[in-house]
Amino acid sequence: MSEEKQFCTFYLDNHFFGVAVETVQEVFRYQEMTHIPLAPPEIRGLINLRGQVITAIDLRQRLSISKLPEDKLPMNVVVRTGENVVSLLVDAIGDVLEVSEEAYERPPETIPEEVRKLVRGVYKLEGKLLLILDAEKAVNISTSVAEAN
Amino acid sequence: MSDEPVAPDLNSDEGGEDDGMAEIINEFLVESYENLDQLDQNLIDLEQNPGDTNILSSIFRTIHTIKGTCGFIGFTKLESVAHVGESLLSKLRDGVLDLDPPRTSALLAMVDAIRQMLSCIEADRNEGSVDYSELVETLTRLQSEDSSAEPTTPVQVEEPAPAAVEAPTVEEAPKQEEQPAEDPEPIKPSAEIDADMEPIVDEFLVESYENLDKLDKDLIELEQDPGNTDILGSIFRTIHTIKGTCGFIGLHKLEKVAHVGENLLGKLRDGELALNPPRTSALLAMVDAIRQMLSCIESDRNEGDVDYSQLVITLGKLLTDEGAQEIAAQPAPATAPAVEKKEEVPTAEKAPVVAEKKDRRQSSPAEQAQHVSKAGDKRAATDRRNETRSVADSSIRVDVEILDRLMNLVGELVLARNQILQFVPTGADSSFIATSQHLNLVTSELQEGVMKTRMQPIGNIWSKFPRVVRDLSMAVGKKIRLEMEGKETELDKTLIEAIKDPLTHIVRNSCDHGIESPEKRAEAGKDEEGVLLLRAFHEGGQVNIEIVDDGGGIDPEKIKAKALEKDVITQEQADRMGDRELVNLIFAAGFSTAEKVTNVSGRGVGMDVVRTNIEKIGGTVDIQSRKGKGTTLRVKIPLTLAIIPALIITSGGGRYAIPQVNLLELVRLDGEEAKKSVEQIQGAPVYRLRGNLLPLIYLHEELELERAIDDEAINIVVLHADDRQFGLVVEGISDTEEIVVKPLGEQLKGLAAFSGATIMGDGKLALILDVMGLAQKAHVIAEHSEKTLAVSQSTQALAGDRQTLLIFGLEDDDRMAIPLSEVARLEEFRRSDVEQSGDQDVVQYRGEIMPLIYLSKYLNIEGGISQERDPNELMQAVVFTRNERSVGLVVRRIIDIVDENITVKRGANRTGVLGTIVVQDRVTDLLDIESIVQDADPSFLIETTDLALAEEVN
Repeated sequence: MSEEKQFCTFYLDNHFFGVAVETVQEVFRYQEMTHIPLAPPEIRGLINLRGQVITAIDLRQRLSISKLPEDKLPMNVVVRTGENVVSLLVDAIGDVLEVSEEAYERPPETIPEEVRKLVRGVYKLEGKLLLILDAEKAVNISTSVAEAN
Repeated sequence: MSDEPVAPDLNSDEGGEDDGMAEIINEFLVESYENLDQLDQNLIDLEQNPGDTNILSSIFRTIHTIKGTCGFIGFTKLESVAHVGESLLSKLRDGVLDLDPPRTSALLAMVDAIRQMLSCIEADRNEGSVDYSELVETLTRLQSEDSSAEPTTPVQVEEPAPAAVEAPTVEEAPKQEEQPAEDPEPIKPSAEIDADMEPIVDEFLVESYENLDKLDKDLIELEQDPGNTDILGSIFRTIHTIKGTCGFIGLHKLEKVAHVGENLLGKLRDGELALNPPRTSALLAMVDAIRQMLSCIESDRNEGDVDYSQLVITLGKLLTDEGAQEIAAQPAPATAPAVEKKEEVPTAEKAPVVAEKKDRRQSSPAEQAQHVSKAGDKRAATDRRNETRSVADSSIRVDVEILDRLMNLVGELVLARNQILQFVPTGADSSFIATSQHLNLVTSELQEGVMKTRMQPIGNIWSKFPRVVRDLSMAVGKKIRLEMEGKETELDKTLIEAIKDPLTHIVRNSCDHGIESPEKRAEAGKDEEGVLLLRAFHEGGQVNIEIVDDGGGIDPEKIKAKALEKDVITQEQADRMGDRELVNLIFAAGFSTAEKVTNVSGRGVGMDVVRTNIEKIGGTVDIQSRKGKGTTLRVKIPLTLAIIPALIITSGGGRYAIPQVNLLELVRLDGEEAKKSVEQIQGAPVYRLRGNLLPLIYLHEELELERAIDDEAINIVVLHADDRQFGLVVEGISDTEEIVVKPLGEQLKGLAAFSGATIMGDGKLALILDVMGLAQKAHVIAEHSEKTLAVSQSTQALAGDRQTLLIFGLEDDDRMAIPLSEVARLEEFRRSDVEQSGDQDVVQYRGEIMPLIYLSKYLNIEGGISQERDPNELMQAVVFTRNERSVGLVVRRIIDIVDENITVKRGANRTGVLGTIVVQDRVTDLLDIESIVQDADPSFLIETTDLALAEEVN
């Protein structure tokens, strides 16, 4: 299914994630965010990226992983999906990895639902697993639900 | 000849053009749409000045172009409609027939039909199944008959008759057709162009230059790929257009050349002849000749005195294979001499040209000579053009997306500039100061310049109004003259598009409801012809658009009656409204004053939509009317949406921007005043702004934030949304600023409270509040909600009128009501708080002593609240305030607040009761609060000096 071979990788808690390198616009250090009242919890705020206003999504929250300790600051992975430019907040940035198609496997049924629906597949690397994030689904957060509450 | 309907040989199946054809069709569509808009306008103008040959010519030319092209592409239905229209037009132009209303209508119907077919073509790639034979018949009949003798029925384009398709009316047409081509008599055969023609000629030049460049390329490509019918088609079309136009303008030499070229192309296209080098050369020579003539026309307004007869002969010979052989046999290029005559610089240019196009190097010497001559010609043309900027070079078409992007970048630059300027005062380096000042200047100019590229004259959307007004006035039997002022007033392209529909609606409305019938006008002593004036101008950084009619005006009383009937307002509100406010009620939802619903307007939607749409783009609309004199609608819209003035406020530790258009005023209440002035009605905070109750929203509550500063002072930003006012309580008010609006990401679109974000001078972001969304979220502008409730000065007019009532009970199962507008607030006291002052029960309330009236006691109701009860019991009091003094009416329980039509069922039989009404299916006593208070405390309603004394005691 997956045809991308190169992935931009990052860490979330003890997981090792990757997104297709073509979708990543840039990566940068923590930047102050503007809080958006009434927004769903996954949306952490707005970032001024050289004059462009982009939404920052807390991936830990999105994947129902516990919060990042207060003393640690997340990093930004800016992904572009269609017309949308969104920053994904992650713990740390890894390398760009080239992986072979043979190591690919569909996500196992046993991983938690919240994670599985945003993961397109798993690459079995030496010593660890690389979870491929479906960026499009990850940034697809509807606010209308949040408002109804 | 070529004007005869061309067999759709390129596409026998209309549904299946290939890509090349699709491109041609798209081009054709774009061009034709542009032309049609112009056509509408022209036809209306023509009706006003039937003799104006200039306008007629322009119309004729447009239709001719459309006809020619669609004939070629194979849109035979479209062609046949355009064809009969053209025939009629040519008779009109030649003065054989006069233009009268039926003919105008038929021509307009033709334009509609063409437009309809074009949109079918655009959507489905075919002409649609509508039958236009009736229209074709009408147009044909109007060519021969004296149309005024037999008034034609209005030609309906929208409703196709279910008859057979194609109308075979083309028979007599070719004769008409050839008139411009073969028989130049109708037009003065002068080489000099009529001054009236100037604009047409310029347009023609621009178009033709564009086409010629393409032609060169196409011809070369064609030589490589002789069988390519797409390219041939494109060439044929270009030449045909040029021929048609110049024949019409009266450029006969040019026409002649194009004509023979077209003949040759026609045969090539039909496969009768094959393309060979001599033919290609001749065609290229023709292109050169045309280009040369065009540049002559541009500079001197005539075709020049070069003789092209040799070229014409050559092209003629090439029409047969024998002739072609004859020419090919001649060693020297037969075409060259003819062409060479025109050259100013015949040689010397050889090298660059040959290098420029490699493939040409392999071509015959004859061709090379051709190209050289072409190059020389080009240079000559360039020289000439350099003198004055050529028409073709003075404008270019740019994709709007590029402009949008530019605009965004300029926005960034403005922000960066703002940030840099902040550093300037500290850095004393003079060269830095100078540089930043320069940056400042350049940025401002750039911003202005880029904004200008997006500006379009409002005339672009007005151009369709003459048609709208004409059709409408015909339909409703009125005489309306449309006048326009300030057509050239420019505004942003996106705004132009956004106001198009609202403006159309207003214009339709003015024609339908505003201007009276000729009879009525005559009765009123006015000119039978009504005047509708559109006026646009810039003022205070905004665009003002006024739609003024001299019609019957709006009767405020009628509006009032209608509004009451439709429950748009309550009687009480109506009484308080001035004429102007009443007139503005036409913008209220669900309102339509048209006595009869016409198909033109008056379906009860419309003006409210107009207002909503205008407000959406940050505009306002206001109406003023004088009965019998007319109505003026004034629309104000910002110049651009990208940069708007806004008020920056803080709340819950964040900064927010409020668009200035929503802002009415700012109120600051300090200390004591703050505590006192905000009152509660059933938990809803209100503030009395000059006697009117202003509902308040606390921004931090709406945004679910913690208050950041615990300041006693209250800042109220008075806003209006959807014609209702409310106060937004914020923590701090900073400043007004020009902000650059940035859209929010897809994930945040659902948040109604925000419309966007902006970057502040310090580089941080601030959210832009959507005032309308906020108001809806807080339910201050819920449907039919009471507008700013005023404390009414009297209780009156109870019958059949909508009121908001406070329902309460004195016993366990009874219901009493008083108008909510009488109520200042609702309070609770503990029984232990009640003190005695003489024989009067009082409580200390907001630094005053407030007397209490026990309603049950007053009304002699058994089982009401007795005075001997549990001291901790809570007592409900309805506070009534007058002349800055309050009195508390003690009741047992507060039941509800309802908004209902009330009708007094039974007159009063008790003191203090106005009557009995039915509310929520329950019998309810309506109390006369004024007389109750008066009875209990006669001094209450009289302004007394006790007031000051009472306050001092505390």
